[in-house]
Amino acid sequence: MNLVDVKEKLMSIVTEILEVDRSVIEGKEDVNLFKELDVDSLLALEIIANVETKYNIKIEDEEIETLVSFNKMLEMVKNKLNIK
Amino acid sequence: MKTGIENKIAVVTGGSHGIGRAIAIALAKEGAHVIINYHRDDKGAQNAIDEITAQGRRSKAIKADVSNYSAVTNMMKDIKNEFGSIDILVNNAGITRDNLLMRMKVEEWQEVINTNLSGVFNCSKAVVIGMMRQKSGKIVNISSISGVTGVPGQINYSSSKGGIISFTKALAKELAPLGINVNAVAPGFIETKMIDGIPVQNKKMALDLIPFKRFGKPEEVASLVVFLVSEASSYITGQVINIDGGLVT
Repeated sequence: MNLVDVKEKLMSIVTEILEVDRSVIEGKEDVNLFKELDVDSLLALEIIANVETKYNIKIEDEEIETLVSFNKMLEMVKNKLNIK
Repeated sequence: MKTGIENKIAVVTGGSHGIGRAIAIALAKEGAHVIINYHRDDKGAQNAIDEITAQGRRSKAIKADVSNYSAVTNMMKDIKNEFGSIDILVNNAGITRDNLLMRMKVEEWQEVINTNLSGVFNCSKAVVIGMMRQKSGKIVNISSISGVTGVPGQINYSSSKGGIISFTKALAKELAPLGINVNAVAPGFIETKMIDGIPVQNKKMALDLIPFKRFGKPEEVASLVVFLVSEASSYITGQVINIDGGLVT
């Protein structure tokens, strides 16, 4: 999987769960999603669970609190998949 | 009444004596495996785990200061590794450093807030993601009628226990979408070491104000906590239940 694929898959996960158009995320990849889009615990966990399943990775509990923006999630996934 | 907590993993902070010990043993009697956190009372902690294992349940006593975030995080991680995901958390650890405000030292204020309120934050934060992943969990916070009414000479204790009430309500709303219950109990005068130091005259005055004319027993508080972590209370969350013999109405 290359970086473009990883980014595209993540965008798909996030927009589907949050039920927003990708234009809401694009250009605001560093924005705190929880504050900007009022994401609650249930949605936050759904995103985490989906990311773990779809990329076949494990996100540690202590890593979760850092995943506040699209880019933070993307960075984490890239590192776990060893993609530069 | 079947509680449905058989084989659940429960953590009780401040479980070496008093109300915490009674809660730990009551949970074990209902079938939970119970880990006790404590700060100083090694003998009391050992005695408590002996009582729990006598029920045929697994147990461990872990010494950790709940006001220390790293210590709590490590403790919960160790518990998860050894026992599995934590299903029940009872935030009971609490101290008093009574004084009138004009004489209260900054350290007396800070120690009580750090242990009683920040301790609840530290422990809850360390277990919440695990409970969220399971989409189940029960958190019971031990507040006090001191936090409900405010008590002169206890502004630190009253503030910390009042803060626990708001913490409980806010967290209950945060975690409800994930099926996790968060409630608080507010005990009145309960027969423990904490009230041993109260002058006889003051105890008599308190008894006069209590409709039941007696102090409560730790086991009575424990029964309420067992109810709040059981299946029977599944629709109760964000609540603060006084258990005080009718003192505060």
